[in-house]
Amino acid sequence: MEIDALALSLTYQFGTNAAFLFLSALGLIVILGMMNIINLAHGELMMMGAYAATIANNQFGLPFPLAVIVSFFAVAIFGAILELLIVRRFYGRELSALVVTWGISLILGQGTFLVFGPFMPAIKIPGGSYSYGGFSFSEYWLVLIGISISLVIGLYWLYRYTSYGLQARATMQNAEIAKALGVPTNRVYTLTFSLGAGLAGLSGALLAPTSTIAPFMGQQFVAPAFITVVVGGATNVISGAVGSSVLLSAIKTPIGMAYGAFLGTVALLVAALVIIRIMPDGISATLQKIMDRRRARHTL
Amino acid sequence: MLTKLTMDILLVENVVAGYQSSNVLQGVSISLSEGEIISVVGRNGVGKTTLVRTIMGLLPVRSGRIEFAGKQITSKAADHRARQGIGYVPQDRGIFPDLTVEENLRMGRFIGTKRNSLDFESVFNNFPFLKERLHQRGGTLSGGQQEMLAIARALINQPKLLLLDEPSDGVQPSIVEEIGQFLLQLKATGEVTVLLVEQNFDLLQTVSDRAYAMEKGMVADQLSVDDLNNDEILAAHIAM
Repeated sequence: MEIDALALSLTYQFGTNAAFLFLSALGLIVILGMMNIINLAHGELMMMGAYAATIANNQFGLPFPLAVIVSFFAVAIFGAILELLIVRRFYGRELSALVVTWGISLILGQGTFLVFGPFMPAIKIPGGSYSYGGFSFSEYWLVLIGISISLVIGLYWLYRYTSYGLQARATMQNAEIAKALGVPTNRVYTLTFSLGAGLAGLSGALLAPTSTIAPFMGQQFVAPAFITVVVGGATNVISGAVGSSVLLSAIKTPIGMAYGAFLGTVALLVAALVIIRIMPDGISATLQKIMDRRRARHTL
Repeated sequence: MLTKLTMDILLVENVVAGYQSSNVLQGVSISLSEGEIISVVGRNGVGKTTLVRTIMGLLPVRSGRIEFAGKQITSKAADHRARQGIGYVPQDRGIFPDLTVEENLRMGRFIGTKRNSLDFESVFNNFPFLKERLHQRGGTLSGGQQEMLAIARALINQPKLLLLDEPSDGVQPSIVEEIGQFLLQLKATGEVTVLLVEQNFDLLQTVSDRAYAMEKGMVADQLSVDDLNNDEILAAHIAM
């Protein structure tokens, strides 16, 4: 009975850790992974999503799920404006983009502090919790795990099967050729950045009930987000991010349960270092090499 | 010469264009009639690739004008020109390495004004090897295979004009020959006009109706089929 509960709890912890890593990385998967922009304002975009959800929920009385959807669109529109006014001047200039997005992050953080003050009223965690064998399981985290899985499927579908997805992947690989083949690449860039920003806002809103809502709350997501995307690699950003969230969580969870959360996080960082040392282009590049080799064997 | 029997599909008049600090094209004029295969020959560095890129819209025209299918396109962006029906195969082929062969082919569907259902059937007839490799990544194909994929991609939605920049570059002779035979078949249909930049004698002599010889960013001479078939005349315009 106790083994059962322990196994169940381990699985649940594993799921929540993986979902947390994936949700933290969600917008960055698109903006860093696909567009190759080192977006240091990622945390602030998530913060904006959390604020949008809080305001929609507390001030306007929207039900929480609706507030999350509103956050997605609000931050997506903000992202589109950011791209049109600022970010598009810095494509292909990675270090300039890094400095510029850092500046944007400072302005957003301080601006929020000036307008809304140091704290926002918290959003109550929706749903209750179950307990089994001395462990407790939050309903909301189970929902977040489910949402993470749906987002993976949704993003995979968007980039694999839609016309926008094909145009976006082609544009990010070679913008000049995509343009010469009739793709309105400027519009694709705006849309893609806007989607990335919107997704960051969405995950900020989803994680809002689990965290303190404050102007600089975004910082806590930045490190896990970058680690997840970089360990996943740019070759196939979606499978990369899934692979790295699952792998990193598989290392963090048991060590965290046995030796405490702090050592769990240390283990995650060590694991990330080791993985990047072994697979410098990330998990997805290694997966692709294996696939290519298998395909080549089939056609020979 | 007041009345022409066939329409000019492409008209380039006194075009000056180039890169940041210097002009490579110093007033180039060429015209292509429907259904022809016209070649551009010249030594390395005379501006052949620059001319193709300028026609495609990847380099801005500093003076002069370009007309395509009766419409002025001088200041239109490359994606607009592609949607009007200009297909482009760059010298490095421009295959998207991480898209599959099928996805690379699908990328050809924004070329041209019609949004036809893509004609994979005729692609497989012309280049059967693509059928077996549909789900392989573009980057895993050999140079010659990539060249054929790039040509198939440019033609899949029936453009009016095909710009081909050195298809023989880095491609083994048997495949160059295959490409030549394919271009002859394409010409026989009369549906596509081809502007071919090339240095390979065999390919030039197999497919060209006539050619422009470039020197120092200008058209120095026009070559007839007879000129092209004379190795000495051709060599004088290509080799050192």
